[in-house]
Formats: sequence, C-alpha cells, structure tokens
Amino acid sequence: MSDRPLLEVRDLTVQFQLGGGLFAPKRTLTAVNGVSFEVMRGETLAIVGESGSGKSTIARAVMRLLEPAAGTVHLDGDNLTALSGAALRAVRPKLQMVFQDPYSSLDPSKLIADIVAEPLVVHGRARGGDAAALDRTVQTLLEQVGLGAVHMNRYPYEFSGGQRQRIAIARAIALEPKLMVLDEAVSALDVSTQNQILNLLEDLRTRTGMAYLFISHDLGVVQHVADRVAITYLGRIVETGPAARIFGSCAHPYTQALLSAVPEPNPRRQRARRHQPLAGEIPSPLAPPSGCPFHARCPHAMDVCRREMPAHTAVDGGGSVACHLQTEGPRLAGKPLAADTPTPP
Amino acid sequence: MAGPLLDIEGLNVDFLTDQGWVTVVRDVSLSVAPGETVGLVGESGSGKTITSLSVMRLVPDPPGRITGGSIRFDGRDLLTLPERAMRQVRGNDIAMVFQESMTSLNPAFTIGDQIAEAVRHHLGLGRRAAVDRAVEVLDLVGIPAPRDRVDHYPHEFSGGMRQRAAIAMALACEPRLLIADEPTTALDVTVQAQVLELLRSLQQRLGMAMLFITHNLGVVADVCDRVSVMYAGQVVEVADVVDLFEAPAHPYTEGLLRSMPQLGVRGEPLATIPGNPPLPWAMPEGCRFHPRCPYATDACRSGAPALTERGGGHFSRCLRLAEIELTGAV
Ligand SMILES: Nc1ncnc2c1ncn2[C@@H]1O[C@H](COP(=O)(O)OP(=O)(O)OP(=O)(O)O)[C@@H](O)[C@H]1O
Ligand SMILES: Nc1ncnc2c1ncn2[C@@H]1O[C@H](COP(=O)(O)OP(=O)(O)OP(=O)(O)O)[C@@H](O)[C@H]1O
Ligand code: SF4
Ligand SMILES: [Mg+2]
Ligand SMILES: [Mg+2]
Repeated sequence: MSDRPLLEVRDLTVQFQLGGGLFAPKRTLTAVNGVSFEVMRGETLAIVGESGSGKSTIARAVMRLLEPAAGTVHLDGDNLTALSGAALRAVRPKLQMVFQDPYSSLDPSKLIADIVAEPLVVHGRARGGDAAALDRTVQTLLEQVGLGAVHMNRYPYEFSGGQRQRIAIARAIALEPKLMVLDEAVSALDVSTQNQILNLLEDLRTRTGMAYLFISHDLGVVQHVADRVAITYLGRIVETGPAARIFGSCAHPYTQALLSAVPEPNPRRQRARRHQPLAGEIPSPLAPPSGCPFHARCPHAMDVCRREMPAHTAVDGGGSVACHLQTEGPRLAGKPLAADTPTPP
Repeated sequence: MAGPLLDIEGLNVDFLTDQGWVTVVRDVSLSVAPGETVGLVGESGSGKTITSLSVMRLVPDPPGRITGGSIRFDGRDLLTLPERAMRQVRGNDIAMVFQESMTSLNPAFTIGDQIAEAVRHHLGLGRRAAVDRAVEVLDLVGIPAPRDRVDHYPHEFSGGMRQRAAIAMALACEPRLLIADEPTTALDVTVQAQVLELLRSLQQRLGMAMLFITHNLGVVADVCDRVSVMYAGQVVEVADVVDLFEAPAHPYTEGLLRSMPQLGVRGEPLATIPGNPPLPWAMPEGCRFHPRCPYATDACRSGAPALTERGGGHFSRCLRLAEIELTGAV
C-alpha cells in the first residue's frame, strides 16, 4: 500500500466553445477553472456546489469523456490525460461512473441482463463465453443492488427511475473498479431506497476498498457518507476539508449559505426558520466577475473581494478555503466563519 | 369552501408488459384546491409520475392506458375532453415540469425559442415580446445572463440549469395548476430555496395551485399544505403536512420518515424499509405493504384495507389503523 492518492487532479481546466452560428459569435465558456484535488484509496470525496459550477464536467474530465484545456489527471500513478488507445482501455476498468440521469444512461433496446453483462464482455471478463456463468454473475450483481433475477429479461422502460439507477450501479460495479464516480446517483430515489443504495455502496467500499467521487446536492446524504468534501462555485473549488470540519465549522460564506439553506424535514420548524434566500445575481461563466466568484451574493463582501481572486489558505481542522475573510476584514479574519457569524435572519 | 380545482377519482392506469396487462396505478384519488400545494411522495416506482402524466393525458399509449376513474379540472372531466380542447388545457391551465428536464425541452431548438414559442401560442404575444418574456422568466428562475442564455441549446446547460429552464417554461404562461415532478432535485439548496420562494410568491400573486412530487422531505415540509403518500400504485395516506410528519397513520410513512438521512449516525447503516417494492404483476394479496410491514398480522395477508379516515381529513389505508401507535418525526 502506498500513501499516494488513488486519484490526483491538478490544475484542471475545461472549456466549451459556444455559438459560432451565422449570427452568434464564437465564445469560450470556462466550465472548470484550475481545479486541484485528490482522492485516497477507499475514500469518499464529495463534491457539492452550485448547479452549473462544473461538477459534472469535472467528473467527465476524470472519466476522459472530454478533453481538458489544461491540467492533469493521475489514476493509480497513470497519467490519464496522456494515455490513449489500448493503454487507456487497459485502465478503464479501474474507473466507472454512474450518471445523473437514469433515463438516458441505459440503452432502451437492450435487456437488463445484457446491460449489466456488457462491461464484463467488453473487457473479456466473461470467462471464455460461458453463458451460464455470466448469467450467474449478472444475477449476483443484480441481487447486490436489491433487484431479483426476475428482472434480467426485461427492458429499461419497464422500470421506474429508481429501479433504473440500481441497474446502472450493478453495471458499474461489475468490473470491481477502484474509483467510482457517482454523479447525483441517488438523488432520483425515495429516501428508503436511497439509503439501501448508500448502505450498499458503503458495504462495497469496506469490502473492496473502492473509492468514491460522490457528487450530490443533498447535504444530509453528504454529511453521512463523505470523508472529505470539496465545495465548488463557478468552476472553482472554494473550500475543501474533512466532513466533520465542513459541517462543524465551515470557513467559506457560500458553504455557510448552503448549510443554512437545507430545508429541515419538520414543517413547523422549517416554516419558522425559513429566511430570505441569498440575494444577488448568480454569475455566468460566460462573463465571470472580477475578484472572488461569490462576491455578488456574499453577505460579507469587501472591496478587495471585488478586485482580487482570493488564494487558498489552510484552515484549522483541515483543508483550505479561498476567501479574503481569512486574511482581511474587521471581525472574521482567520476565524472560522460559522463560529463567528449568526445565521442570517 | 370552494370545490377542488383538480379532482382525481378512482384513477386506474394499466401497462402492457411482457407479463400481459398490469395495473400500475390503482384506484387513486387525489384533490388539489385553488392556491393549494399538495405533495405527492412515495416509493420509487409507486406511480407518482404516471398519476401526474394522466392529468396531462400524456401517459405513453401504447403501452399505457387509463382504464378507469375521472380527472376533473375546474369541473370538466379531462379524460373525456377532445384532444384539441385538451391541448388548450395543457400549457394554458395546467403546466408540468417533467422529472427529467430533457423531456420538457427539445434538443433541436434554443431555450429561448422554446419558451417564446410556448408563450406566443398560449398568450398570443408577438415575436419580440415573446423573446422578452422568455428572458424575463429565465431571470426569475435565476439563470445567469439570461439575454445570452436564451440563444443556447439545452445540451449547453448543466442539469440544474435545464431544470430551471423547464420551470421557467412552465411558469411563462401563468398556469392555474402547476404539476412539478422532482423540480428541485437537480438544484443546489441555495437555488432550490430561491425557486421555492418564487413558486410561493407566484402562488400568492396568481392563486396558482401545485401538485408537487418530491422525495425530499425537507422540501415537503417547506412547501406543502397537504400530502398524499403512494405505495405500490395506491395512495396509502393523505394528511395535512404537520399531521403527516408528527402523527403518521400508515406504517410505510413511518418507515419513510425514519429513513431521513439527517437521522442517520455516521459509521452506521442508514435506516431503510427492509425488502423491495412488489412488481406490478405480482402484487401481494391483502395489504400491498404487508410483506415489508413490521406490524403485519394474518389479517393483513388476506384483507385488503380501504383508504379510511382517521379524522380531520387524515386518511390511511391500514387495517390496523386503530390498533397501532406510530412514531412521527420530532
Ligand atoms: N456540452 C456543453 N457545451 C457547452 N457548455 C456546457 C456543456 N456542458 C456543460 N456546459 C456548461 O458548463 C458549465 C458547468 O456545467 P456542469 O454540467 O459541469 O455543471 P454541474 O456543476 O454539474 O451542474 P448541475 O448541478 O446543475 O448538474 C455550465 O455553465 C454549463 O452550461
Ligand atoms: N412505459 C412503461 N411501460 C411499462 N411500465 C411502466 C412504464 N412506465 C412506467 N411503468 C411502470 O409504472 C410504475 C409506476 O412508475 P412511475 O414512473 O409512475 O413511478 P414513480 O413513483 O414516479 O417513481 P420514481 O420515484 O422512481 O420517479 C412502475 O412500476 C413502472 O415500472
Ligand atoms: S394493513 Fe397491516 S400490513 Fe398493511 S400497513 Fe397496516 S399493519 Fe402493515
Ligand atoms: Mg451536474
Ligand atoms: Mg417519477
């Protein structure tokens, strides 16, 4: 065993070209902007952030489903960004993904048995074409995600969203990957079914040492499953840290806004504490603001925030934050924000 | 009290599968009053989406078929309306945000063109005014730089942005009933709070009613007046939102409330309802929940419970309603 991270992402930048039609001028949208993070073996790193902040784009770049404009992605020592052809195919089984959308991720024309068996067949793990053995493997995989063998000869359309997501997970674990990228993988499920899947993922992780890159909007779920958390905003990571520190004393005003906006599953309490949502315009990656990307919505914004991009600084309790309040500002400098500011009224 | 705006009674929906015709929505009744928000929660696959698609008469046929019941909107039975009149209802009176935002949006047209087309059709606006309206509603739902974004295609949006665009399109014509299927699942909680606030204000301004499908019990607690809980194609509980959380009357609801991740302890498995939902072609005899119910007795295995009022508009489909004491969320 080595202490080197399983996944190492350095200065990742991903851009999209937009427009370029007859009248629309071509424009560059920077979806991910100089992002760095790592995932250790067997670890769950959660990525949480604004919608449109680049989480799925990070996931797709890690999966080599798109070409980054800059930066590197190392998995288990291999520089994925430099691999192609047979070399890339050889590392593919180590890396699997379950997508956000359970409706389009399963081929509607294929039987469930074939969908789940496909990665095994493609990567030559079908044990010399022994159909009965392959069937048994598929059956075991389906049972692991809470579906019976009775489902094998059905088509995806016969399942609801939740059931389809279980099938996608069965397929993803078929090759026993080292890293599984889960992009909103449980958000389509009712809480009980979601918990079954989360328990299953946790069980698989302890049994196999698999690591997860877990993208989610549900902070209740993240708090339960994540070892570490990275918070994204407008294509950048604005805070990282151990889950206990993030949920105990976060340091970035956006993280704090997220935590205080989680609706409480209690009608009386939720209605009593409901407060004004964050004001201010959500910035566009097509016209990124100067300075801190969060300044337009930040209740603590100072002059320096409008001028300069804050650098990442280390935080007590682990991780780092990119916020000027760490070094400037009358009250908050250097102190954990959550401990110092009451939640906004 | 005014009559309900939407009144579903005894709805049955069947699907043709390789197991033959199966009933996936069974005797579902549900009503929404003007200005009211009714939550529809329940097991994945329990029939929430199919119920709401029935209201829009958008159940895919084949393989689906509405085989019974009535769906009254403002007194008219939508199920017997000619398709032309139904097209008027869709969009004008009732708008829907689909569970998968790509279903609401056409990949071949820009976001702006799609919203503009809808409002030109329904509000009779001219081209310029329609585009202005598109920009306005995109801004309302918090899409940054809406003037730029109207010219983009759906695939150029993130999942959450597409979802907001779909909400914008549904709201553009100021419907009297909004059916929203998981509208905020793809959004971060700060934007979710913004969207919910927007829906509340529209509701106050226009008296819009909402049928709100979600798995997020925090969102239910935040926006719903009443809640219907579905399990295995049936409504198993109907209650005022506070009653539902504090004094649930059906064992499935109790299991659901107990599974809220907020109640989990790190390092320990999260609470679940053991077992799996039944398949539509193999529905258990008696109470459909009995194989997974901790309170089941022999009677539950044979006698099918009816939806019964416990009092105060609180209904439950449980034979042991009067005998068992269930725990709510505190
Ligand atoms: N294929 C594409 N073409 C052009 N722009 C894109 C494309 N895919 C994503 N984008 C843009 O990149 C940005 C980041 O999108 P991404 O899907 O990564 O966000 P996200 O954080 O996953 O959001 P969500 O939480 O809503 O899923 C957005 O501004 C989006 O519009
Ligand atoms: N096109 C179809 N053909 C056959 N069966 C279908 C079809 N569409 C839905 N069903 C079945 O109807 C039942 C109800 O599905 P529905 O999508 O309404 O569930 P849901 O409650 O919305 O679930 P979720 O919470 O996962 O969205 C499911 O058992 C599903 O398998
Ligand atoms: S009727 Fe019986 S099995 Fe069904 S929910 Fe009630 S106690 Fe449980
Ligand atoms: Mg995404
Ligand atoms: Mg649904």
